Amino acid sequence: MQLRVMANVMDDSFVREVTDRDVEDALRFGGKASGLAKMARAGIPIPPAFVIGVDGFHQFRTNGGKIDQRLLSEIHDAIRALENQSGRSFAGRVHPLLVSVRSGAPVSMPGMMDTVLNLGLTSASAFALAGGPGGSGFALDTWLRFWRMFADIVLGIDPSELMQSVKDAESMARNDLTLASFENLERCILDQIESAGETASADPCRQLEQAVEAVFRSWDSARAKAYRKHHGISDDLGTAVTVQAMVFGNADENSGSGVAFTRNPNDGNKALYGEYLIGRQGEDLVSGTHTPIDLSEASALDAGLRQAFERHSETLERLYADAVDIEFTVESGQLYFLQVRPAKRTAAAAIRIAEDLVAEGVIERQAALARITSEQVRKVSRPSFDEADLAKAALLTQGLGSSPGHAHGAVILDADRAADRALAGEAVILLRPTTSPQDIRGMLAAGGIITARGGALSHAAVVSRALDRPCIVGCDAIDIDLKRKTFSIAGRTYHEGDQVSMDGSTGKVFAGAVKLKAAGAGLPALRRILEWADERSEASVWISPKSSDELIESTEAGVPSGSVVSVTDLIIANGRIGRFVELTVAAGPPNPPRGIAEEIRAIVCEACAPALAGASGRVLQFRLPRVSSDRARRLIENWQELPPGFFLPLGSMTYLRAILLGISAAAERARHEGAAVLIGGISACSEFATFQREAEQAGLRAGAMIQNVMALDDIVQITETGAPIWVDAGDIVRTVCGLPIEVQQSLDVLDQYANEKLIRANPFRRLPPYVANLLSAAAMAAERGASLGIEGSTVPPELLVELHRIGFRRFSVPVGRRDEVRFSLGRLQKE
Amino acid sequence: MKDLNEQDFIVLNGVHLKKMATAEEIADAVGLDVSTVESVLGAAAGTDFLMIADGRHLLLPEGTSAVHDYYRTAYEAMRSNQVVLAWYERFETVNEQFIKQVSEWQSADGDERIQSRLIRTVERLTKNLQELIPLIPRYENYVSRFGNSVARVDHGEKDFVCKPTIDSVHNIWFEFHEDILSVIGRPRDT
Repeated sequence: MQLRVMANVMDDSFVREVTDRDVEDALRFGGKASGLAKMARAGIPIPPAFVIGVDGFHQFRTNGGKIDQRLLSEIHDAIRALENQSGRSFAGRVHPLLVSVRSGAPVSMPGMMDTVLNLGLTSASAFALAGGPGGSGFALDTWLRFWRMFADIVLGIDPSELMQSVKDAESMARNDLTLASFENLERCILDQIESAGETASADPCRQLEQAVEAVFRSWDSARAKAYRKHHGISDDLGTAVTVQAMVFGNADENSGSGVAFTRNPNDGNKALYGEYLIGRQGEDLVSGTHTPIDLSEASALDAGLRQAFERHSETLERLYADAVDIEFTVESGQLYFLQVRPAKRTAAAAIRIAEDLVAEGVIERQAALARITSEQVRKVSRPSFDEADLAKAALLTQGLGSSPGHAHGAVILDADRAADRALAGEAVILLRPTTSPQDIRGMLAAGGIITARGGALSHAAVVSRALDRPCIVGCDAIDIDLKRKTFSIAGRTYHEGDQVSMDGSTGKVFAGAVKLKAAGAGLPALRRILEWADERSEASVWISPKSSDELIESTEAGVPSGSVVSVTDLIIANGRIGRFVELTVAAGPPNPPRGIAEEIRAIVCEACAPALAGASGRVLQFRLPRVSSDRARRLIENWQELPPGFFLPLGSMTYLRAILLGISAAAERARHEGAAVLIGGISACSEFATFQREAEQAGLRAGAMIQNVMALDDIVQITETGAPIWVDAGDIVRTVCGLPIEVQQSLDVLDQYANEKLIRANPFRRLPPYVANLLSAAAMAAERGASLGIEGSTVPPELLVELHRIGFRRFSVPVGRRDEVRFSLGRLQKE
Repeated sequence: MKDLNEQDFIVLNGVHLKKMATAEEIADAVGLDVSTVESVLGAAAGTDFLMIADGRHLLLPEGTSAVHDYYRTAYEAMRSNQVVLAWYERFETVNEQFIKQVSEWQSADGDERIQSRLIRTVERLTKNLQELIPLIPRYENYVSRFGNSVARVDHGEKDFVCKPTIDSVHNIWFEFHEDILSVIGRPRDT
């Protein structure tokens, strides 16, 4: 009881040392002080510090925006305590105590005052410091750094303008090294501040008051207010202020500064990583003017320091349940941790660390999934050059990488030709001296863009980034001869159509087509993370490869699920689309000429055989060509002249049978059992029944790709036959909304539309309730285990997550997006 | 469409600075309503000033030179105005800081501390812009665009720092820089 009363009495003070247990309460003392308090309790060495709690802020507000006498004397008492702990004196002439002042709201927010460092020097103590081990350069840099930050953050004066205007006084102080020249510099700074309409004092006590007031005032800055309003944070919460003694890594030869990571931030390996600069301050590390020591080398720190480091690293990882990075300083042999935060890391390291922390029993699998973002999974899964193949590739030249990504293809020197050849299914790299708006069609079609001239802000660079195409500009070494359709590099001549590969980040151009692969599944840690995701989501994610090669690659990479592949894609990849289009047109009218069906059969068979052979017995389903599709409309020149009946799913039995026979011949050749064919565009189970008979006659399993709402009425009945059924999510949403395919293909247009509040949300990102209702019967059938999946190639992962939530468990997506989708489905919270 | 009036200029300059943009994006950038912008763009689309690709507008060489001509005539007085030239000299310092901070921000994967320094530099520019607005009233629009995008950044939408496809702080800065260079008659060579 007695103790309780004592505690209450002590609770009255606004200002506390951070070692005070109460300070762990972030709501009263802010996140920064609370973090320091926790570290101090865990035995981590931190420089002494105190905090003015949010009660002090309220007092400041009540007092009309001024620090009152009581708070002021508490601050001075606390400074006295810092002096005692550090053995230095604040505002003293020799051995001065310097402090940092930081805002510390319970929730960190933008618009709040940042840090002011090195507060505590005067012209006299700066001059005294100049005679110390750091020398005059250090003394002046430290002192002027304070004035720059103070001007910038506390007074709102442009620090570079301030420094510019006292340049002469500064160089006089640097050269003369007299007390008078230091005093003159101080006077010039104060005068300059005055002429900018602000006031400042040369007295550190007054400067500290001003800095504290500036923190309190910044709570009510326009940006902080807007932020709180947006996030529903109360304006009355208030902010704390943390004041901490500065330590110096340049005090003597037993001092230094560094940055350490408890795990390697590049690959996630568990080993101390970082840099240490002997006899220097942290800023020198950032500026890169001195070469630091690599902390991963055993000799980088003396044994005592290394031992302390390892012990504290372990403690901090347990405290944060994560890998951390640490800013530290050694002052005369004494180690101090200045700042600790969850470590920045690359995507690959994030995945490795999350997996390791689970193995070490630090976090649960669910937490590991939450530690990783879809963006990181996407980053490591993005198609990238096969390393072995890349190692063999000859570097042709290097320009300025201005839009990232890897691509390969035939070099085409003209935008229109590039567009034509890309349409024919060829991978194309557009190479131009420069690009202009007239080249836009070719830029849209090309897999990558290279220009001989131009910089990072040239037309090619800007437009490529907008289109998300890999781009390299400023390849001076490439000499282009548009007339001859050739280009030369270092005296060697190449012809249009020659294959090259490009890396839009490094700007490197290689000879030949370097193999592209999806990198992600190759990382063991990612594989395990994705297995956990699968366990949680209970989903199976199929792939929709664009070509037989892609199918074979993913089979070889061990993708265990089935594949849905479009026959038209296979024909394009096989280079026969031109002829196939002609044959399709010829097959349209009733009683087509003889021989047409036979040639269609042959083309389809040739296109499908490699896929079937490469599937090595895995489930493979073929999307049949659909004459009414948007793609057919683009591919077929006189599309509108085709007989209307041909546009119906079963409108031409000759055409359908020829394709079915082609696939069945290919299956037979590859000895692939049970290949399924998916018919698109049907709307009734009677249509499906007829199709099923036709497929069975060709020895194939019948399935369907549901693309319209009408068919959803019959979908349960169709699935009851056991046939594999897919719902094309993009087509359903698009037709329900009555949007053309062009809008679906540029989703940011709809995002913008939704931002302008013209529609509630982008329907391709958030499943409209109306569509969810339409799909509910299908979703229930899927939950009961029907062979019913979502074809999701044309919609973003977030829509698939919503479809998973209403019951779907099977999805099909392009090879490069499979990892990301698996991850997103597993990451969601189950109710 | 031979000589531009002020409204034509504002719209086509928007296209010029954005290089490739929809009518809505241009309207947002220049502070005119979409129907006005669409009517100017519609009139220009039939000429050798402008083309439309993929729903976005791009200036053709004729259009670009018309925009430059307008700058030359309308801002002739600015090019010898000591206030403007001195302002520009100061801008160059802020601009250097900004560019350095953007590349630091990018290489540090959007580090919060670098981000707050970068936003402070933006606030510095918008404060300084107040001095130019009496001379070039349309610059008010940059201030409000910066304000909106900074608020988005503050709300956690980091794309609004420097993603090239949206009205990010970096995009606005870059457009402003090109704009002021054209005003004082030092077009940038890209």
